[in-house]
Amino acid sequence: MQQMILKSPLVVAEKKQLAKNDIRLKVSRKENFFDLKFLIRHPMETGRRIDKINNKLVPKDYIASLSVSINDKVVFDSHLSRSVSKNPFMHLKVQKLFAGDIIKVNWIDNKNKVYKYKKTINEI
Amino acid sequence: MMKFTLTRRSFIKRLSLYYFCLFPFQTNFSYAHQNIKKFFEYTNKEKLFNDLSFSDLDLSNDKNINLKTPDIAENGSIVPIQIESFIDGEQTFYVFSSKNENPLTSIYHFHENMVPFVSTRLKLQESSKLHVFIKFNSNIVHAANDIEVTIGGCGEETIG
Amino acid sequence: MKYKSLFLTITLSYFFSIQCFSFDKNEISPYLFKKNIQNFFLNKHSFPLESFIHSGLIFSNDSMEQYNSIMDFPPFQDYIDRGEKLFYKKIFNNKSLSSCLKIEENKDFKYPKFDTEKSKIITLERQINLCLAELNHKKWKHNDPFTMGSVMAFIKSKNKGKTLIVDLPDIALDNFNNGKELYFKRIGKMNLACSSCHLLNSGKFFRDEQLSPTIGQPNHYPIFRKAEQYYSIQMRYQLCMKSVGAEPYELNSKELNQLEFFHSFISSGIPINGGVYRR
Repeated sequence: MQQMILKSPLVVAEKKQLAKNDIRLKVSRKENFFDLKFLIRHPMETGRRIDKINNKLVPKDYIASLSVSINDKVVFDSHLSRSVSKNPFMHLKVQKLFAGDIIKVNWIDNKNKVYKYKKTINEI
Repeated sequence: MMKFTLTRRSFIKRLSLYYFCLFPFQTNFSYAHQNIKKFFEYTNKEKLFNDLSFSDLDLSNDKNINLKTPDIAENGSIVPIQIESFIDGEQTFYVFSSKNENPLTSIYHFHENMVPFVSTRLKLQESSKLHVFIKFNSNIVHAANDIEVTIGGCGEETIG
Repeated sequence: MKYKSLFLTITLSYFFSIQCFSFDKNEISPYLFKKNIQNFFLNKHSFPLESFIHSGLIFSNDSMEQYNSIMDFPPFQDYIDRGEKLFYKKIFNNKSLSSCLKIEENKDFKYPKFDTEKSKIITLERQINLCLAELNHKKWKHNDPFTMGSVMAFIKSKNKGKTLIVDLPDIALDNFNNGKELYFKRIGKMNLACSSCHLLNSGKFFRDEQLSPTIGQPNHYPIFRKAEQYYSIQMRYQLCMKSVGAEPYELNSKELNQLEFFHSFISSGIPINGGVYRR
């Protein structure tokens, strides 16, 4: 009986490039505050890199501003630039956080497109 | 055929609907965003400090700022930096990398309920000073560290 | 302290007289060889054996801190998460890579190993492909970061802290000795061997990098260079060969498998990690 070799069902879904602007966010309780860490998948192109495949300059593409709000009150806002590393990471510290609080992270890229992320804190 | 009537009330309703559709994402910082954007385009560090009212300041390291940076950056495209201030209340951190094409790298504004602390990763073009100015009330304090960079991080050396 | 340099000189010359001047390069037992080389490094760099997992980072607190900072929330976490999904996914007959590899059951990490029946070196990549074949699935390329790379990074990071143990049955001695020869063989336009940098000159600067010691190097692979480029240990061997101006061996070739086998054997006893950041 001929054995059927599966083509690669595992690969089909996984091989595609993961979406830009995905965010990973972690909150953890520390002694006197709460750690808020997040990483946004974004190329943060400086506009100076040459794509080796087609020998062209890759245009600027970066997150220009980012804000964090807790229960719809902005607690942190920032302006970023192409000098921030690829896949921008931020570690912030929140003084008070309670179960049920809603953390929102919004960011705007250099083309003025807005992205939003929301997370409800369950247990902390 | 549908009859179209436009009363004052329905006109105002439509207008507000269009407004909220076109401008749904008003946030606290969207106005400031337009204002401050121009400073990120500056290439001259002295002019930048001047226009942001940072020149004529004592450029020694203020004891209220704890600026943690590597001595020698392993890779200029991903330099971990940590800024912590011991100042209470609302404040803004301005972070500059003196030899980047545009020296202003980022601005962080902390409202209440936030510890004035940020740890992030920056790109540094070459060995330079990393300046942090903190504005709070009408005061400004400063700290800076030298960072040596062997592999520049602003574009030419990144993965292609 | 006074006699340390004298002791080092004596150890070095004894060590290399065997390697360079003996007609039969393989007269020393592999276990004695491993003990000698580990003692050599333990005396040269005064760090405990476990710390050699961090390879070149042990020389600089600055580098170690940057590493820790990035490993706190690595940008390449996606690959490890993808690897986790692929590792546990049921492929065929309700079986997955996890049920075939059975790595979690062992308290030590035992790859690469020598298959005495088939008389072959089985690296972890090879074992993954053997398991995929058993599960009626197409093999993966050894250097594909989205499949093999992700699973490799996941497995090594999941089993972080386990001790690397490489068994050496008598039938594998030839492979071990060939690997050892490759390690000491001068190659390329620059006429350098692995030992030239990583044995004789570990801790010294080569351009702006501090040369890492031999033992512990395979333990922490695979790595993500610049926090995004995947490299397995064999891909790194290829890079090294290119940088000394030599034509690199193919991945999964007899030569690179023998080199990895030898390299891992002399690094046994040191814990493992994987899916880590490097500059």
